[in-house]
Amino acid sequence: MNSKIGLRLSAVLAPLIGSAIAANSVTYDFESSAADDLFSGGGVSGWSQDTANPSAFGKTFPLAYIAATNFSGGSSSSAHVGTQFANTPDNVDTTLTGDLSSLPHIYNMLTVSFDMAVLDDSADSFAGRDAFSVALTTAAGGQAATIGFSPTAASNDAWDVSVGVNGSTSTTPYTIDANSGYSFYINSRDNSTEFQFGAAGSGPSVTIATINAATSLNSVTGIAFGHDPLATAGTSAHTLAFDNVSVQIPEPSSSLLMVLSAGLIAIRRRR
Amino acid sequence: MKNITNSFRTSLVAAASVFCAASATVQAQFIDLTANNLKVVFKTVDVVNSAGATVSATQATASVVSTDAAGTITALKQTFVQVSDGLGGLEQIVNQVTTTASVDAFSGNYSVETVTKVRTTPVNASGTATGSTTVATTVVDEADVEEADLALPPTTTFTAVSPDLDTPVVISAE
Repeated sequence: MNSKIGLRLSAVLAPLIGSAIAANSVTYDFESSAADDLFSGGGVSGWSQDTANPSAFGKTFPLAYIAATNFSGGSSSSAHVGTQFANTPDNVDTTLTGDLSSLPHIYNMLTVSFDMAVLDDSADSFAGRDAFSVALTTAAGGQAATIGFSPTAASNDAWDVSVGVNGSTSTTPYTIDANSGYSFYINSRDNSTEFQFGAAGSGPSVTIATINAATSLNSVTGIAFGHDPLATAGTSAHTLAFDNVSVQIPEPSSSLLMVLSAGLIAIRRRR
Repeated sequence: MKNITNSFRTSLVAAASVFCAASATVQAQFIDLTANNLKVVFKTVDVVNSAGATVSATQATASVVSTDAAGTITALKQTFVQVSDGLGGLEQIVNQVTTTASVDAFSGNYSVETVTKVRTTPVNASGTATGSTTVATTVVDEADVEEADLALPPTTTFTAVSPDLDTPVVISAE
């Protein structure tokens, strides 16, 4: 009798436990933050800022902050990093890192998506243009996968897209336009890494590149959104806005655990 | 007579207090730093401190320019720097420059008045004032200045981008 009850419980619980263990994702939508919240000093939960905001006139001017942006589904809180309101006097990079350390890295696989836009008025007096990047980072400071945005040479309001793994990037034929909302996707598996993008909210419509595997996905601890000042200090005024950051361990881990659970059940039945 | 003197003194103190309060307000509102279309530019510059020594420091600059219906141009520029005072302490130096260019209807040239106030305040390491502020004011008038020769500071304002983003067309490059 006890054996039958235990068997039934196992049949119900094992797949659930498997699914629970494998519910491996981290999402940042910034909806718990308010406009003008700052990333510095732990102002946005789960995020850190590596460069201090400059101060003057008794006031702090942000290099990164929360502001409303409408990527497609209506206005909502989103993250901003760049030189819209201030700059570092010595052109130091500013990087925002979202914590991914809660992900149990059982496999060398990750699926990433996020919405982004470069906000810039190309007609204002700040003609300088900077680069931005998004990277999956490891605790050792490495970059497992990277998407870069560099100013397009022949345009005042476009940025070239580059992608790469294991700390290096290569140029692609693709560009993004200022003030337009995009969604980017990284699907990284044991043998390859696929980069895709499309209009925000419309799903991936173009595969940018499918390249080598990222070798350190199982040690990724953060997703970093960076601003790299290329222009002379104080001559740019633009930001990288981003939202709906999602990083997931792909579903096969769940399926595999369920298969393992089924196996355990079968063994118990034989006994 | 004594009462009149006391009354006069009280008025002076009151007037001084009002002046100080007004001055502080004017200083705080010289440029609205909370505007969402203003960028403060930070640069590393050489600054001469109260002791006359040249020191390297991070300078913050904000400036705005406006033109009224009569064509009078008003440019406000404010800089801020915190440096060593040469005596083992620190000081904040705030420059407030107001340039008013009034156009002559006949010649089309400008009469330009530039008022520069340099406010120097001793502070501690956290930027809190530890002494009184000294203000040095200079006024420079120029007449018959051609528009091309107006040396107005570049504005640090920008046009804020709409939060409603455009929808891009994303197509394959192949």
